[in-house]
Amino acid sequence: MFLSAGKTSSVPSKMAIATKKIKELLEDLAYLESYAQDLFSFLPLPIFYLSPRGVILEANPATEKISGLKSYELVGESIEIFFGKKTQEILDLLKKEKLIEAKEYTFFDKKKRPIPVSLFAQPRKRERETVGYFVGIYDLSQIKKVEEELKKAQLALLNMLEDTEQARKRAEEEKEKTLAIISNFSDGLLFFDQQKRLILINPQAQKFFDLSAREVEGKSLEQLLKIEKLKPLIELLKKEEEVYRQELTLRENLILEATSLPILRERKKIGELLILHDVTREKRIERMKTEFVSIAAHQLRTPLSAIKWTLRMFLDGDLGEITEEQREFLAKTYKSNERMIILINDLLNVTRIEEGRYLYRPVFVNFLDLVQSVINLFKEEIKNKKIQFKLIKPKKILRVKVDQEKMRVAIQNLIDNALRYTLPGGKVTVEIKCAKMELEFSVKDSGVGIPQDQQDRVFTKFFRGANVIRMETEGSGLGLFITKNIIEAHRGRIWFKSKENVGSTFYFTLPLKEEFEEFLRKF
Amino acid sequence: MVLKTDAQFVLKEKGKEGLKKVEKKLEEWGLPLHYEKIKTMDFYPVGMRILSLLGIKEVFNFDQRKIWEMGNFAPRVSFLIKLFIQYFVSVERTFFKECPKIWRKHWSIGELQPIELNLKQKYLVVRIKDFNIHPLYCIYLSGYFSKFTQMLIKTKKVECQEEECFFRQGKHHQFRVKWQ
Repeated sequence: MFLSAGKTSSVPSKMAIATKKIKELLEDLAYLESYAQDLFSFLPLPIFYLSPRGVILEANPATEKISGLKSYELVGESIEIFFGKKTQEILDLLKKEKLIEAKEYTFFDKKKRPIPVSLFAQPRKRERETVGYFVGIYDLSQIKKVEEELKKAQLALLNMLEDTEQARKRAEEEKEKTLAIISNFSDGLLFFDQQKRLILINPQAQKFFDLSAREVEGKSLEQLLKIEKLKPLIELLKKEEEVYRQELTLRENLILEATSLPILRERKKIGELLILHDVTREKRIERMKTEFVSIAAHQLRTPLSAIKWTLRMFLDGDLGEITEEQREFLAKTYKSNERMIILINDLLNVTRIEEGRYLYRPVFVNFLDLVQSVINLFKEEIKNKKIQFKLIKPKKILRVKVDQEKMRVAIQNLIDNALRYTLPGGKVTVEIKCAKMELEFSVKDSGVGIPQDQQDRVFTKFFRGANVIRMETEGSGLGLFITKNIIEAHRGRIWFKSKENVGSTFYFTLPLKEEFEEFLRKF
Repeated sequence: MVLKTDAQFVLKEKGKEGLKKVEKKLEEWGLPLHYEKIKTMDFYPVGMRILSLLGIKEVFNFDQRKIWEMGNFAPRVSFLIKLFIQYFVSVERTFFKECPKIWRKHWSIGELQPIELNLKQKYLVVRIKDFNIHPLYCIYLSGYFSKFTQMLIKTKKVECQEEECFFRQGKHHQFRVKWQ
């Protein structure tokens, strides 16, 4: 209750009303202050109020947080403590602009650490006069960090793209080089992908088959099979999983040797490359050579046979008495002539093999009897050299279908070698074993063995081990070549194990065929 | 209003416990004052203001430097200063026109007279008349004027000297504030 001075009244005096009104206004003002203060404090963004001269007059808690300074430490300070050398620029801008939005600056905290910020400012006006500025800043550290990371990522990406581009160019260059090599390669090349589609055919291969790449590229084996010119090749590919030096006669004057190679990328097969090497010329030369050898051998064999029979007649006394000394010379001559005949026969066999004229006349024979008959030929030699010879026979009678004459040559060659290269008193064991579908023949000796570095040439023509050449000059080096061809012609396998100065074991197998099965087939 | 800034200074320096100690001391002196309940815009007896200052000095054994700091601290957190911020457009206007108003808003007694403002030579002279409450308050005012000038002028180094004091045979209190 407010009373006017001097008199009492139930009506409040003007003074009391004014006092009450002021009190109410002050309360409103106090409320407004607390409201403004709460709002100011609540804002998560750093906001401060600047005098027109750039003095900080108020700062909210978010400003305290970002700057590391208390509000009372900030008030009265120039914004220079926040923006350093850029302060004047900001003040000029504040004077010039009505509103500043998202201008980037560097803000410095208590420890002078730079913080990238986005600055917002708005002047506060009273009667058209700027009385200060509300300034808000937005911490861009995180955004900048992300931006920086993005820039790095972008740079890395650009580098990667550049690398990729370079790699692409390199790959392109490599591809061009490879294509140039492929195009100019003297061999025919065909590349098949995993699905056995022909992806590439080089000009040489196109020339071989007299067709263009457009006709065949992208086609599957089945589609290629329909192209008559490619038929022999595709049939070969379909038949064989892997092709190695397979001969392919395309025309009278074109013989190719086909070899396939798996193409790997990171150890994974991505396709197959077929190389076609033109061996026409080599074949022609080989044929000419074979023909020459054949003619020469034939021409030689006739006089050698005549010499043989003449010498035989001398030795048998059919042409009169001869002295012991003469007999001795004639016997040596006879033996040399025999060796020459054997060599000529071997050469003829080789030429027949090479010409494909080594005819086989297979008949069923008792294999043990065949082996025994060969062993009988060497009885005297075994005895003379005091060889401990052993024959291990199978329990079962084995009848195999072989060309008896050729098989005898093969067995004879193997036993002859074993005896020849085993020193007197050594051991030779012949064994015949029976497996389920094949028989296995082996000759084991305790001979000189084959040097390790020469073993891969054992079955080639004219091969003779360096160690055996030293110990014996005889031998044509054709025996094992012929033997291998005989065994393989019978669809058998031949191999050996050998260690120098320990001995060798030669093996071969022959497929066993039931006579009855064969009998049925005939009907 | 100044009681509020006293409380904020104690809170800053000594925390809530410190403020309670001051309130207890004032209670012992027969002045039950709760700083938190003080309303910013209310007027309180001038004696209460000086007792608050003395109480704080007594409880924490503050020296003159600390009292100066209290005065220096006050404008930074003063709501009234915030209200007057809008008049901080020009130094001349604020000094000659608004400062006396600010005084009157603070106090119902005494008067602030702007005597001289020399921006070239970087000083100002201000006089307080009829406000002779305690010599301690002269130190407080010295700190207050320093900060206020700093806020007004935008300067770092400010020095305030009471060149005439009622308690030292002066007619009134006269402060000279210099800056660099």
